[in-house]
Amino acid sequence: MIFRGLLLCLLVGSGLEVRAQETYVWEGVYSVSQAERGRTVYREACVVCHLEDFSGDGDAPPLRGRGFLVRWAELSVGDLVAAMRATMPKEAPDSLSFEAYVQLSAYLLSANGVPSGEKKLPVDMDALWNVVITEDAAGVN
Amino acid sequence: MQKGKVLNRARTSWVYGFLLSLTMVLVVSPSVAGATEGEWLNWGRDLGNQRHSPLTQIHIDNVASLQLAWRYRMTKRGIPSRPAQSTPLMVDGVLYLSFPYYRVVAIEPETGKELWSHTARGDWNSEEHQRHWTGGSMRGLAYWAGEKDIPPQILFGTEEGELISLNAKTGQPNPRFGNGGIVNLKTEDVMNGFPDMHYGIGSGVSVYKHLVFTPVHNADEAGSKGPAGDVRAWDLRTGEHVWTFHTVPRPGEVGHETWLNDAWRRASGANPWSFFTIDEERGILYMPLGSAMNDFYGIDRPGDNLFSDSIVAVDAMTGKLLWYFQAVHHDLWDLDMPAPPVLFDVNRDGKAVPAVGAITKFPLLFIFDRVTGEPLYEIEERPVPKGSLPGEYYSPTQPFPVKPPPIGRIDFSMNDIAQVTPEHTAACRKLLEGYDGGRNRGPYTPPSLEGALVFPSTGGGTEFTGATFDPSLGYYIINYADTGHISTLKRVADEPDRRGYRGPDESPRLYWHIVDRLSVNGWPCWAPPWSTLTAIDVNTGDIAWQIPFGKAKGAPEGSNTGAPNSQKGGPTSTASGLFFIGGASDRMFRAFKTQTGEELWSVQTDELISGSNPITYLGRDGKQYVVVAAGTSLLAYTLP
Repeated sequence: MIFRGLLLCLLVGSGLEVRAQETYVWEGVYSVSQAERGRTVYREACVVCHLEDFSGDGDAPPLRGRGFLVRWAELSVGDLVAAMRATMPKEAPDSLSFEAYVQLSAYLLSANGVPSGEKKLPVDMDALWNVVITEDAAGVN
Repeated sequence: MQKGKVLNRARTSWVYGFLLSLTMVLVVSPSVAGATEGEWLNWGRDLGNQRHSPLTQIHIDNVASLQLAWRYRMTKRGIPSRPAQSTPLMVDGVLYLSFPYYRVVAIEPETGKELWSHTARGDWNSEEHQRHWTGGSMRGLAYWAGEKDIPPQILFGTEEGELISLNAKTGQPNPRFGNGGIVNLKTEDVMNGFPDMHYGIGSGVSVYKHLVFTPVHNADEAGSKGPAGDVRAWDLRTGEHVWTFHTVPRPGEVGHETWLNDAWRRASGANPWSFFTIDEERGILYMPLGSAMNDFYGIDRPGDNLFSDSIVAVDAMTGKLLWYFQAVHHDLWDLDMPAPPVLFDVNRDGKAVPAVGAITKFPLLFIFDRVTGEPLYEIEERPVPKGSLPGEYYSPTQPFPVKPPPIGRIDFSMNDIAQVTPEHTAACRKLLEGYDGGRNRGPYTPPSLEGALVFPSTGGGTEFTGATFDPSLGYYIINYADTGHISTLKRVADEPDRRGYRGPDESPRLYWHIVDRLSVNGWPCWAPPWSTLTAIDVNTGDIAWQIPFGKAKGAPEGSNTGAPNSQKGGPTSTASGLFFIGGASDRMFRAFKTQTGEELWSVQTDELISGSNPITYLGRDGKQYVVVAAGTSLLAYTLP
């Protein structure tokens, strides 16, 4: 398991600001059960447009493969959840529970080859901002 | 008021007859006055929207070696993002890009390095915005060179109903424009007594001399009433209002009689929501107008409903009507006129006639003398099917040009069922049998209570990304998607629990519009190609070539399906005889030979190019770049 526990201490202006500990999605940040629940959500709310194989249809973008990881690279699971809540499902944005969006994120990470682990994605927006997505595990030490 | 005859069925008022003689001597193509060859000054490059660059460094023999030079990411952690439908500008050595969440950035054209960034105010994710599909906004910018002590400006509008002018060098609002650089567009005269209904700008504004013209995105999901779709001009120096053109004509104005039973009162829609086209030399503004509200029924707006679905030509400085043509009477399909009109010359007996081409979401291109509005290819009013919705007004005819021929599907019978694979055909047959074979009765089959297969779907057809024009060949080139859907109306009163926007109490929606896309695993049920690229020779009115556009996922080799729904993302041509286009749902960015449609180069992008057109420019390093927005990235390609 590639692991890097990264602590970013940023000096901003004259004050000392400490950015909370960041983790990378490649560090086992979601559980198998979260992803499984996410699959149920996906089948109910997403599969019509994004399709069973995640390849998308029409305006619905593919949710598996390089395109997905490039889209979200250097952003966080918080960004992903925020975007899904704001825009999805297309006919009724923000109509799922917050936890369902988090589970959906776990399922999409799983679909993109990001390994599960002992941890769970927190159902806490503040914490999700610090779970960073990268294109691949390279450079995550 | 202008004088001149209004031909009821030709829908053309030839008002500026005196200008006709002028056209005999003015044979110059739409100009790119003030632009150097290497720049891209307007959304469509020239104000005539030809989207044609004189650059030739990238040509047919070397285009296959294009490489990605840089990528600008529109995403930043903690800042909301969504895919852009944007086309940038390149002026005076700076690239300008707008994208969702009201962001405008200036970028170094050779490196992708950000020079400045501006975020306009507004709540993009509000309930109002989600209700009205504002997600793809910030589609383009306009540039004004400034004057005297006003530095060059970047203009754009937001879905908050604000028009904004930024200093092109710094990104700071112009303090002398409106209120601190912002003009409030949601004024009483256009809100029509519905101050809480949506009124904003989704696409781009246009600049001519010292004026800026504003389109409007309004709420077409409600009943027939709501904010006006009027076109307005504003003074770039001060932000003061200059003129208004009523797209729903008021008493005494041309077209008023097409709203029966006083339906004009506070009627909404008929709005220009894409991009304007301007004849710079003659000072004519061409408005491509959308459908009237509600999109899918019109029992509360009997009549032909001018100027919905019309191209309207006005004097750019005064807003006075010159001529118009309505392409769809009493729209029941949301057919709009999304593609910006394109200006070009048509060779007639050795003389260049200044022309304009206009197309709705329907696959018919209408070509006019752009000064007089006289059709250059005859237009016929042909009978179309009447529907049976109680109280509905059905136009008995719709206009069809004798030339060019339709570039996409306009009707369907079971003989037209897709035959790509036996499994797909069988699944489609089953779907269609559920609708008695589709219940399509020919072009302009209306929506119905029991459901009918109509072409195209709400998504078009064509889209706001429009066409390109190669003046050396006389080719008008556009991508078209054979979209279609079962269009069913259900009374809101009968289905009160259905999820969806019902409109405000003062203007409630009367019918739900329910759609069945009739596709199986992403493949439509009618015969392919499902998307095409077409070149129309405007000098003959004939199709010069037509090819499937893209490839459907999983389709057998040689089935020539095209990639479904590939209408979003228009072409851009160059003087070296090629054109570039994204927009195919197979996520390929391609270059074609303009003369033949032969594919010369392609690359798969990580994200879909949707709603974005490529531009090309010359960097300060002497290299020609081709730049296109793909999802949340701006991609720049150049030769090695």
